Amino acid sequence: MPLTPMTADLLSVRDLSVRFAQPQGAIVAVDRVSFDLAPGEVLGIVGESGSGKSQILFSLMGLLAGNGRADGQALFQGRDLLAMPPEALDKVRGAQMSMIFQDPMTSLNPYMRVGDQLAEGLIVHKGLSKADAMRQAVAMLDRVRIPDAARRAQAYPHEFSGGMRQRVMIAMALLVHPAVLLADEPTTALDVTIQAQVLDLMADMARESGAAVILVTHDLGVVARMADRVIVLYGGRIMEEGRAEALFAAPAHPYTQGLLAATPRLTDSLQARLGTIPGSPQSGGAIRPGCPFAPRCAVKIAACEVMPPLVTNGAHRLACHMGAP
Amino acid sequence: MTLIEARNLDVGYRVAGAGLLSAPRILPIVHGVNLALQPGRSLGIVGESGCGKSTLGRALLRLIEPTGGSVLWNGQDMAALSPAVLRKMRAQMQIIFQDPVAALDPRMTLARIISRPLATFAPDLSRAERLARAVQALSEVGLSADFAQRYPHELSGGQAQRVGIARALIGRPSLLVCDEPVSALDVSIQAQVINLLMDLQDRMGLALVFISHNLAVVRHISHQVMVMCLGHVVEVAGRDAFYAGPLHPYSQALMHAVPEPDPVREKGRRGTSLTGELPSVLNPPPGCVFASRCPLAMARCHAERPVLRSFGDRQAACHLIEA
Repeated sequence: MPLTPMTADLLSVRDLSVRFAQPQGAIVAVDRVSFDLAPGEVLGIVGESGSGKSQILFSLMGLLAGNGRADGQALFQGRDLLAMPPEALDKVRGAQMSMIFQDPMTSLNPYMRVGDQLAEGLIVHKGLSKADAMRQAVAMLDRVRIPDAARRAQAYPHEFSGGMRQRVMIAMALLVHPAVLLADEPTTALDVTIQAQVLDLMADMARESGAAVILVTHDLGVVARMADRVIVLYGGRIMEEGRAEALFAAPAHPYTQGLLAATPRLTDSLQARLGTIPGSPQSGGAIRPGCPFAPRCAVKIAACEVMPPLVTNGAHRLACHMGAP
Repeated sequence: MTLIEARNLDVGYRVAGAGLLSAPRILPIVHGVNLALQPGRSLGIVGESGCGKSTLGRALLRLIEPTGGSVLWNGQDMAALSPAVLRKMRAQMQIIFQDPVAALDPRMTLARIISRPLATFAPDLSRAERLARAVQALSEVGLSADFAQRYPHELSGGQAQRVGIARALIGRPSLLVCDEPVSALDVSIQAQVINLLMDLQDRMGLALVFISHNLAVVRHISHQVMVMCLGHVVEVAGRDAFYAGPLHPYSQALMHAVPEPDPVREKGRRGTSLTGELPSVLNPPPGCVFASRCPLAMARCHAERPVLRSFGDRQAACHLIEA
């Protein structure tokens, strides 16, 4: 890999692989993925189901399932998250790195009042007194526009609507002023108007706190609104990466092109039919020697039986034998 | 000739009474819906969760008994039909669901799943004829004959939705209600299924009721668009007119909130145009159902519920729209 960790980067991931042990052999979910995250940057990772996009985040947070293993390196402020003992990782996550999950109901404790859950992080990680922590928790709930925050802090998660619960999750994630916020499909379960509120809130809070964000989603629209830079993932490998504007304007990888053509829009001139990619996304399985997208690719050639290298060209990276257009 | 028509359709669910000993009551979900669909046309129904769009779709097929109003099938009141006649007629009106895998019996082969409706719709067919019809239905949805002996767990989500469509097609329907049929599918698979539904419509003259929360998907497949908010229709318009500029503030807010896959348009754009919280179905406001979130609401909106009025060839329910 030609990339070397740069001191300017907050997070440098090198050759990250995630495997899950199965009775019939290991499943490779993420295969030698490398990327950097600069302070204050919003990095979007897009992919379909089985692309490994969520597992990248889970591996960084040490939250892989019991049969999962992460290899490679993830340098966060110079320290390797993947090699850290659990106690050291505990000090990082929840304090300097936090995560927002797709389903806020399953990531909030149903037996704990919302205010107590928020305050807990400040008491544990920042050593605040209970009263101070609660004051900050209520202030943060107010910031994420939970109406009547002081009273609502006494309520339990089930007493909140889906959109409000996701705002509570954002409040909890940002309360400790993390340097990195990881968001896994944060708005997928929400209605479009509530999604808009949550995205606006995430953008505001990230900008104010200066946190860098990794936003994992299947929704190209969400990425277009939020991300400075985009990684397109398929079959656990990076297919293409670039600045958002450049990538959407001139996608070079056949998979990126196919995804954009398959996405219905509100504003384009209507075509009779949407563009399609034949076949289905591959899910799990043993590692293929060649390009994971080749079985569905309309322009594949014999060389695609060997995985193409990820070639860097300025701010753009591409893994395709067909090269840049 | 209108294929299916709803007149002042009310739908509600029976829920427990307010107190421990109170009698059950009807919780109204869909209020006074009128619609008419011609053969071979598509009606898109959009709205947020809980707006009643799925309930309306089921009531059209009488899978839920309406609490008021009527549904006419080819001009005939469906409430007047005996259950036996209605069962036979179901061949012509079918539904596909959001979770395609959950909609298939895991212990049956696909041939059996797909041909099962024929036991009701065409009981005289022989076993071989039923299998032949199942294989034909598979080929209509782009699956080869060797799928006939497979089981649901061997399918991807997109394939499972195709099987759901094949089962719906086996009785040669003229109406297909699609209840969020692509919401659970990956983008590349979603496009395949949308194209398939449009091809089937062209080939067989199917009428589609396409229920979705996704405005971009609905734009692609619909001739007519209906917007629902908390059980009420707030706007009905032709596709091109609607997407060129919706009339109702709720439709406008929905449209404004959608992020388009275009960073030049989207980067830094704020999608929020609404404040306030969604009112509860259990305690609907006396005025406009959207007033609590509407940026333009005035005193009248909170007091008096607007009715659906015509503006040219479109309709909207809003006090603020001038003729």
